[in-house]
Amino acid sequence: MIVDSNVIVNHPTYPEESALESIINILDEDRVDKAGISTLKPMADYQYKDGNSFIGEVVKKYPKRFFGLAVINPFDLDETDRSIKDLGMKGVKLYPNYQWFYLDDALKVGERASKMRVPINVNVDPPRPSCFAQCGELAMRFPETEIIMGTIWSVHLWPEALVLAKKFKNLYLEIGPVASVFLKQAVKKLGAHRVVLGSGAPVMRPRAVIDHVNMLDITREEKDLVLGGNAESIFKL
Amino acid sequence: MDQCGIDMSVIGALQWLAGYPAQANVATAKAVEKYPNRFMGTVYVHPQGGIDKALEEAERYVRQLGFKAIGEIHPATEFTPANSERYYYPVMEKAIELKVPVHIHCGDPATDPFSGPMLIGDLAERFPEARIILGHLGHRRWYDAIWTVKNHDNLLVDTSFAQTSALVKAVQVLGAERVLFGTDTPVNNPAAMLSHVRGAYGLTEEQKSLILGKNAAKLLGLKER
Repeated sequence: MIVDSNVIVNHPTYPEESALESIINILDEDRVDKAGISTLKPMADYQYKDGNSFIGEVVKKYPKRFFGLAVINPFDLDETDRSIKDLGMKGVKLYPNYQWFYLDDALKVGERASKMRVPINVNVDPPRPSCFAQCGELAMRFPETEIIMGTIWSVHLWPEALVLAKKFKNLYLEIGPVASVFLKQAVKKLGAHRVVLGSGAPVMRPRAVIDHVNMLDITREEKDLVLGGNAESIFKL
Repeated sequence: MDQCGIDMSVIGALQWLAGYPAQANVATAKAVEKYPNRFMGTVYVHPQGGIDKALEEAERYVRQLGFKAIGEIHPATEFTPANSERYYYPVMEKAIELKVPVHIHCGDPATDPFSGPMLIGDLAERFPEARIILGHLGHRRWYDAIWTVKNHDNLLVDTSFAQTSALVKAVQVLGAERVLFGTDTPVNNPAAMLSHVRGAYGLTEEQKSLILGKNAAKLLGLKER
């Protein structure tokens, strides 16, 4: 099963490409079986609850295609509980680089998420002042919770991500259009079980990332973990 | 320095950025020789140009000419990650042997994959006996830099380019003892940098005094004036 752990519906910058129908078409064409879905438009409008409620409806309508990821405003912690318990979300997403919060606030979300045993995806690109620190500290404080370094695509950030992920076994790297050499390094240095497909579609076509992984000089078993097996475990699909 | 009331500065030359590391150290040595009461030298090394040669250079400038530090190591201009085993491990071993701190540039994430805080933290972890100054308080990665320094007792930061809020946070999290005054003069105006520290919100006079001189004096083995 191919699982893309990060697709975006209603992206404020790409409204047409990120309409729900477009996302479903992309997943069909690229043969992605299941995707973790979240939305950014409500975040841009500071209407987090609306966004998460919408994702709850999408997942209810397409339970085999999608699992929900709640974008959390750290200043509204109860939304974490509502999203997981009431809406059935499988994980939470944080955007410290866009939401402008710092470590202490991320840790509050971490506490809630870890109690409910759901993973946390922290978007780190571009790396505003505390993105890496948040990933590291969350991983350190909540060793039983999977922390995903979201959108860790940049050539510039990848060497640091490898260093950090080596320190914490519960830290995972989400791969989109990352450089081949770093992708291979991640699998070799951390193990394939620590690398998760997350294309960020529609920003990047999943197939571009899938083909990239399939072309790597790693075993079929390792490729299957990266392309779906890991996400199935992390999000308990 | 006279205008601002700065008594002493650690000085290095920038010819190394233009590809002339040996000339840089010669220029630094001349400045220190001419103004021994105003300047302390830091020796630039270029291990990519030959590790043995770089280590000999470091040893000579520290032991014979009394240079006080190695650096500013600039991984980005050398296309080498700050935690490079091949190039920077030998430099760290030499610094430990010579008992001098190593100053490493910590860079801008938009252009620099080689000198991020995590890489410098990795280096610090591998060489716990070394004293490493993480430069510029991490530039725009200042919070990541503070977090890294917090987790490694042998790291310090310098204040050049730091925002006021970053400087205050560094003192709150790390303690003023881990923060060194730095200006990057003449890129920055030292008068402005001084005002920046003196005007930092909530810092006590004692904390400012540590940042503006006492910490460096202790680190570099200087006598109080």
